[in-house]
Amino acid sequence: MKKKSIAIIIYFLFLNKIAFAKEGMPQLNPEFWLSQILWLTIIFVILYFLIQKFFSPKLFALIDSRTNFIKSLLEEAELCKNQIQKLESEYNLIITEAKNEAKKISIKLKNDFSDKISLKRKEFENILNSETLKAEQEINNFKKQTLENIQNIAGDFSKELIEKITGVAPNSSNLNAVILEISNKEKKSQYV
Amino acid sequence: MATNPMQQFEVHRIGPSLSFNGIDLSFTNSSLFMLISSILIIFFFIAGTRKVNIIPGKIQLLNELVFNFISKMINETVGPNARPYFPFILTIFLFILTLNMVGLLPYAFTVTSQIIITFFLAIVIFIGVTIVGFAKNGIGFLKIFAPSGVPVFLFPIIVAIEIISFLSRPISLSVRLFANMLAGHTMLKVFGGFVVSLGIIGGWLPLSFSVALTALEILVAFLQAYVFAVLSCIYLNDALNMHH
Repeated sequence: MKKKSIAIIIYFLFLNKIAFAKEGMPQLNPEFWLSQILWLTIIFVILYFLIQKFFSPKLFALIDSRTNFIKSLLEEAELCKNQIQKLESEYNLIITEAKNEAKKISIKLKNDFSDKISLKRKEFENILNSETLKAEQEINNFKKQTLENIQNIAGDFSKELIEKITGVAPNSSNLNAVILEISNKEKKSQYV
Repeated sequence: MATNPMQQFEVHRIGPSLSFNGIDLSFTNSSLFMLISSILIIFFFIAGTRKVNIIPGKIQLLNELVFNFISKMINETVGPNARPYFPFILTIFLFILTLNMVGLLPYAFTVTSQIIITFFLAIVIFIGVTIVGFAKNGIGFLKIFAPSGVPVFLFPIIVAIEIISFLSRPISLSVRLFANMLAGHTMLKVFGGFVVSLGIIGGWLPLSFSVALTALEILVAFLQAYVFAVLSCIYLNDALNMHH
């Protein structure tokens, strides 16, 4: 029984495959199976050993070093970027401060200038007022004097005229009073 | 040119016969193409890492491209705690990719079209992942078979399904790669046979199909290597970061 079962197992493991191989599938011929397994093991193990011990660490180290190199460059670039941003913000701050300062100076100059202008204007107005006052006074004086001269001339002329017409010299004080009255009337009619 | 499209998958001895306790361990054409592929990978890495610079050259850039591609894939599927497994996943991906690509060259042997090769790789990953799972989570790793939030009456069925699904991982992983390579190369051989048999007058159509199929096979070669590596990462993720 045991022998029979072993024979069946052997048939299913090898002999039927030989039959298949003879019919057309050389892969199922177990003649070189162990040889192929042996050589596959030897070659694969050597290849694996070489890749694991030599090529893989070398390439890993290279890729790691490149990654680190790129990382350091990126960090440097980031640092430069931050510095540029800092400088830019400082520059913007300086520009803003300068603008504010310029604005302040401009406002101050404007105020100073306007103060000076108003001062000068005041001075000029004062001078103008005093000059106007003086001129008015002079005009009034001249007017007064002129009026007195006109009255005197009118009195003398009237005295001589009355004397020539009537032959009698009029009283000077009466004549002057009459002329003064007439001139006052004239003055009033002019202002009315 | 051989007429049988399956003849290209035959393994034969190269050089002297080597046996141990009656087991044939001879160097075969399969072993030769494994060796050639490994040498190509080693040369690729030597050329890329001979003079490493911060600003990479062409080969170094290609090295880094593969490196970053696998690194990104592992990070996305497993997370940062999978860094110790990176060399293994990288080796698996490059080994399968090179075997697939070398197999596309005329008269070359496609190692990944051998079920024993893909199955052995898959079983190594399966056993490795299971060991990692038990080492990281102890007996709690068995929780992978018991998803949370399952109704009690469904629990035995779900556990049985999960166990079958877990055990079938090496089979699905290995058969996927093997079947894709087998089918692609068989098709290429069949269409190549048509080109020869139809001659210079009628052979243009199968030739154009062959060209298109070769392009497709290059894509499949890359895709299958990627799928194998991604699935290995997913299995590793199950062991490292248990979701159940």
